[in-house]
Amino acid sequence: MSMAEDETMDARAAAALIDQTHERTRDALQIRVSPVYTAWGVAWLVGLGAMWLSVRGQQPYRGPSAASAALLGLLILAAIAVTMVVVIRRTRGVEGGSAVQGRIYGLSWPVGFAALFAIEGALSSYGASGKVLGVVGAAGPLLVTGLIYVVAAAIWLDWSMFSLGTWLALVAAAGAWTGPVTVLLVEALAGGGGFLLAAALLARRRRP
Amino acid sequence: MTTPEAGLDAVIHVPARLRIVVTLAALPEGDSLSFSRLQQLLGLTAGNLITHLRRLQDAGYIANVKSRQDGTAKTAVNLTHGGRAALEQYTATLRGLLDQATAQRPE
Repeated sequence: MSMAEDETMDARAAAALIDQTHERTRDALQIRVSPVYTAWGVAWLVGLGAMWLSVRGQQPYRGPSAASAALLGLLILAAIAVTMVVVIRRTRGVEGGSAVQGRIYGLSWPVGFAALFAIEGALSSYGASGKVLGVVGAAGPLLVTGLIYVVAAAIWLDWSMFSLGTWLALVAAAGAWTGPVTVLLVEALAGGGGFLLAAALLARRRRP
Repeated sequence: MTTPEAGLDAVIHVPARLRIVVTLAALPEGDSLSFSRLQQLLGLTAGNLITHLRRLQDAGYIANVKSRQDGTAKTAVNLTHGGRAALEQYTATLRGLLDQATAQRPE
């Protein structure tokens, strides 16, 4: 018999150990979404903001500069990296149903964005103007992201995720009506800002 | 005086095993946890953890799941229905003992 086998504890100590273990496990396995939302908020706010600055004074409209598009691409890669680090660290070693849910959810992103970029390519090759492409290019990604969040909220029973997803879809739709220049400012402030607000609210809720 | 452990499941009523069962119970039903992550969460030595897992497995409270990851076989464990029920029973008995202790105090 090992030492641990001989250890005794009374009922009160056992009850305390149950509470402590349950809390620590839940804490260790729970994915913290605040840093994830923050990374995406910064990416949209700064990336789309830079694009807006590059098209703001254009007469006639030529579209966002290559530098601002590259900046947005870099920021999106950084946000993907933050997301993956947070998720992999928390879910390491967990197998079964919730791991499959996570993998399918992860796959919804490349599926959605590949389809979106293919459609943008089709619009371009059938003669869509730079203005139309500008509107679709700015509003499309926020719509795809919003819809993924709305559905993902059903997996994790998370109303805050549903609210953020609905907000992003609304911003995408409303922004599209403001035209190829202002849409970038609307999506940057309301989309990126929405992510940052959600991150701040969730971080505050965490600390009682 | 009766022992405070009266009526408590002896398989679960050991600190290390109680922590193992509660940790696995925190996962959604049908999920399992790899041996290495369980070890990291509990801070037990591998040998100690194996000893307790074997005892829980003998009682039918946990099951081993073998999975293949990165080409090597990895062991994961999960709580069985019996294990989940045993923890619920244990917690209920514990609560009863604590209520009794509280009720007796004023006399």
